[in-house]
Amino acid sequence: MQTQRIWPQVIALVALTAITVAAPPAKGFMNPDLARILLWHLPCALLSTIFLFMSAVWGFRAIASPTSDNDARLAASLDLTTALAILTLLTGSVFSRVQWGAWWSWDPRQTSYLFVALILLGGMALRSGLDEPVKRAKASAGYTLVMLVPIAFLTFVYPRLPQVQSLHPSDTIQQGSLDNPYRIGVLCGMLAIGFVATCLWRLRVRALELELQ
Amino acid sequence: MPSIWAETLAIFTKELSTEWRSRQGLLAGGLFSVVAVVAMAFAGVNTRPPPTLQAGMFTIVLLFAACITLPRVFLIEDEQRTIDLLRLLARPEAAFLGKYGACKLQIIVTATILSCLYVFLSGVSIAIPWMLVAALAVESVTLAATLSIVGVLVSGARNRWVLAAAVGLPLLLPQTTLSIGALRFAFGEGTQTAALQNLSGLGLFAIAMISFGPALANAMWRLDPSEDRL
Repeated sequence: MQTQRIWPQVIALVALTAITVAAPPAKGFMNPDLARILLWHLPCALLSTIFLFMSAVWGFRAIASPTSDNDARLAASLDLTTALAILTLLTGSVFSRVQWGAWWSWDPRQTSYLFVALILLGGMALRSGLDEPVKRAKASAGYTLVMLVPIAFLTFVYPRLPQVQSLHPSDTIQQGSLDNPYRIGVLCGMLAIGFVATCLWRLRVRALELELQ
Repeated sequence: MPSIWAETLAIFTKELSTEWRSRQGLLAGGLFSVVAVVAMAFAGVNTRPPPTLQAGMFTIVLLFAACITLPRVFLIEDEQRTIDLLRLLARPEAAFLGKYGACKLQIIVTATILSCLYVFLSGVSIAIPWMLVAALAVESVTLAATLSIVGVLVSGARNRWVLAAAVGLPLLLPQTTLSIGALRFAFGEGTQTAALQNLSGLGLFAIAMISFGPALANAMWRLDPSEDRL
């Protein structure tokens, strides 16, 4: 049986920790030293969106052809999207405590992302409630495609509505408002967390395929 | 072979006559609305909550009333094991649209009863009546479409009645936010531009869900075992 080596993933996370410590304090924040958590928060948020689109692709394939391969890839993508969304919420909560003075501020951006996490958890609840494999694959794929509409609204539309007043910075990357060390740090975070997430995704796919067989 | 619209009409009529015989959906939804409005009015006696809070309470009662009653239209077939017969008699798209039509009618009746009770019991004043009617109409369509999709997805699950609410509520959170945004203007707070934006967003959700529903029903209920290869 093939064993999974974990040292590359550990090295990636240790390297990201070192980059976080080495990064200069972030200017323009209430607590510039602790704003370094941005190097974990932003990659988690971006990667959860990437995994969400991956889930949609596998969802589309699984609803057209509910094979165990497609279903396992869809389920693994959904699990990773949920895990990354929860990490985004947790790191965001730490950021909120440090910068805005409360663990949870009911900020529109924070709340809309909580809605996203709840929608993703609803998908997991649906999957756990269905025993018959074909039905589960189709229902899970259907839910993934349906949830794209509310999630796209909550992630891309709602925070940009003119009546929504948020403390959360918006369009940070598009406006180029990140300093060079932070831009490189976020890129490193994407690579490190992305690498770990991809390894976990592959492991989860293998485990689910064995389960389905 | 009858057209898809004839099949849709047949399913719609069947659902209405079933509801007319038992009146289970309307009774459950109506009773829930009465109890919720009475409880809210009693809790807030001698106080007048601000319009946004009133809009929020109203929308949440309607949301829960819909979650209690609407998935039943789909889940009852699963429980009585008549879903296979239905799939033999009508195309999946027609079955979905017929049942969706029945859900829509049911939620419109529930929303009308609820709004009359709410106005009468809580003494709320409606500043912009046309916005209340428009918001309720679009919200009813969105609720019916989303919960019909949920009904299709959870049929066959072990704890389908609980699961319908657990899956439906998170999916309906953005629509609830938009509905509150439109209703608060009807109750006298906010701007018309923002209310119309919320209403348009709600309408777009409704269009997306109605368009996706028949395709999903076709994928879930199609009678071709060779396509299911898991």
